[in-house]
Amino acid sequence: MTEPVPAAPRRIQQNWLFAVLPAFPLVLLVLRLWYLSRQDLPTMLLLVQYVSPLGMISALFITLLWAVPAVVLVLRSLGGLLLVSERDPARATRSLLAVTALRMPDWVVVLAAVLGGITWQLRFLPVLVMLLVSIMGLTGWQRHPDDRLVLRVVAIGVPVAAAGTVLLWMMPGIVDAIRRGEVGTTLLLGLPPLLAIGLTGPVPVRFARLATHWPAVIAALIAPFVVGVVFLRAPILPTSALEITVGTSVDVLRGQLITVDDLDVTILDRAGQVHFVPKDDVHTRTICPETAQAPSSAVEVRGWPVEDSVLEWVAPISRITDVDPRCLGRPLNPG
Amino acid sequence: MADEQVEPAPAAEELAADRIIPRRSAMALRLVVVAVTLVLAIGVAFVVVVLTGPPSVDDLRVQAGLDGKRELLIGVKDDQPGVAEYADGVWRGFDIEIAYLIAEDLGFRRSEIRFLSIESEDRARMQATDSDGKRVAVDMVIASYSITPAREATAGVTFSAPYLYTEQSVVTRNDHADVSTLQDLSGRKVCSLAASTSESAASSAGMLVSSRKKISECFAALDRGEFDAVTTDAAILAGYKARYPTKYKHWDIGLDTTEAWGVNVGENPALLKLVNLALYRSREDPEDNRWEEAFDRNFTVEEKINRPAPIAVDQQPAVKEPDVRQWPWERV
Repeated sequence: MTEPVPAAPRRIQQNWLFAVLPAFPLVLLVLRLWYLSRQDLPTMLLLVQYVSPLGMISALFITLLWAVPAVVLVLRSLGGLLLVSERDPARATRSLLAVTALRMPDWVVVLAAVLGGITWQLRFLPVLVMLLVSIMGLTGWQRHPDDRLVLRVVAIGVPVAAAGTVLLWMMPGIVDAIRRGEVGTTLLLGLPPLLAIGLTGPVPVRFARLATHWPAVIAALIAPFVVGVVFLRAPILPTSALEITVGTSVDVLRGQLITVDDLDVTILDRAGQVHFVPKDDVHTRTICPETAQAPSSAVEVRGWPVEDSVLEWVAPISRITDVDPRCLGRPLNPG
Repeated sequence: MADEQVEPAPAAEELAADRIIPRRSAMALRLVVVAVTLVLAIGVAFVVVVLTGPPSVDDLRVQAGLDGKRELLIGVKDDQPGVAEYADGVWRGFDIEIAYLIAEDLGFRRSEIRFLSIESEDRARMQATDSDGKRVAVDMVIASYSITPAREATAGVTFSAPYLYTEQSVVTRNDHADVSTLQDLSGRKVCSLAASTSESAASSAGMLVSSRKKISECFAALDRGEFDAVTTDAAILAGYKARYPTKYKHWDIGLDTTEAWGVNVGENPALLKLVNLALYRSREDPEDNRWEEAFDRNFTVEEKINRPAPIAVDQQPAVKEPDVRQWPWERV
């Protein structure tokens, strides 16, 4: 441990990292199609043929935009914690985590904070505040380890003020969450600002690596699953309902519309079956809402639903109140 | 925690840097906080990824088997004026309007609802009869069906939240002496519905109870003089009194038992949630007056002629909010 690790192996590590990183989104995109095809290879190949890569990448980008600030801020705060806890700077900078944090420009942190503030759901904003307060405190320890006033302000004053402000603002939501019995939401809204007060300085040097590397490893292990699951749940094809003629009666076919060409309308139903419906048999077509995306928590903080981000809260939304009967599998004109 | 003391004799390199040495206790505390944060982070990841919360209305529709269903079959009574009646090719009454209220919230248009006549003893089995006399299994039963623990224990019966509170009362012919309690009819021949809650109360009061499958058969027999009285829920009797004001007298018999009518959804827990959601929205949404209008159209108009006999409580019974994933603007 005391032997300095030559620079070359670290560079090799980084090279591997850069090689693996771009593969991850690619794996995600392919996995998404495989998932959509219900593990059927011919169906997946059909999807590959028709699903626009640009559309998929847009879906990936929109769905996972929140992950960028999460990765940046977690890396910065864990690396910062390691940097200030290890008293020997040379030893500290042997860790990839510490080096990443040390070399990360401040504007990246600011940009990540802004992006997080805009794209994270309200229930995760206290966590964002916790990360930012911790980064600020650790940066204070890192850059002004000899200035008592600075340390008092950034490591005590700022966290306490931030915790007070966040708790005061979130209080109606916390009360509502307790009343509804939503333990997860209660903890998410109330706990992070308090924890932040304890995350603004060094930990004992013996435990520095344990307290930073292990969380980083665990986060690196969990993150792909979280990101993968979130992306697999997101729709990449519009859900449609078609009214089609079957013999003398009208039937409704629902599913994900793959393509429309000169001959057929190709649609993937909910069971993973592909249907090629002759164009002349299609009466009407409609797009169906994705009700699965409705929030699971009913808690609101001052009129702001906890599962809405600033972006979602501010942007206009189509409020679908009447569901088209075709989306429920019934023809537009019964009888 | 930054209020650290300067150690008098630090290591040489630290002295050179003139840095403040953090207190041990503060550092230990921070370590604990880091551990707590880590546990919390894992917990949060678990909650977000694995526990996706309650089902959405769409999920429930699929689970309840309503997805793609062309027609919703509802078992109702067909001979109870004011409650549920089929006359001149039209279904009318409070139960019918409640059925429309629920079915509309389930996503069915009026033309996609099929009412089928059901008899009291078939309500638990959910077997109705269609116009050809064929027995048909219905999706739900909304047929002046009182919620009782015994019925709830019956196989195949699952009640929704109640949609009406009423009570038991008695109707006699107009020339009958006054009735103020059930005991006044002790030893008399009284007609009630088979498998009804009123039947047992009447028997225990010493009446000679005969039961019929339909309440219209009871009234026909009362007209013929075969019975002295008919007893069942006040909301049902009030309809007959209102239709034939000079023929019958409607008596309040002072029973304190509340008859709470519920919807039998059978063995379909997803449908139960959807029905309860419809009733909850109808009760809690101030803009939703469908229940109140149904009450006014069917019971309030009968009130004057029935006075002082009761009909039903003119407020929708309370419904517990079902655990369903909804958009914020759908919540009431």
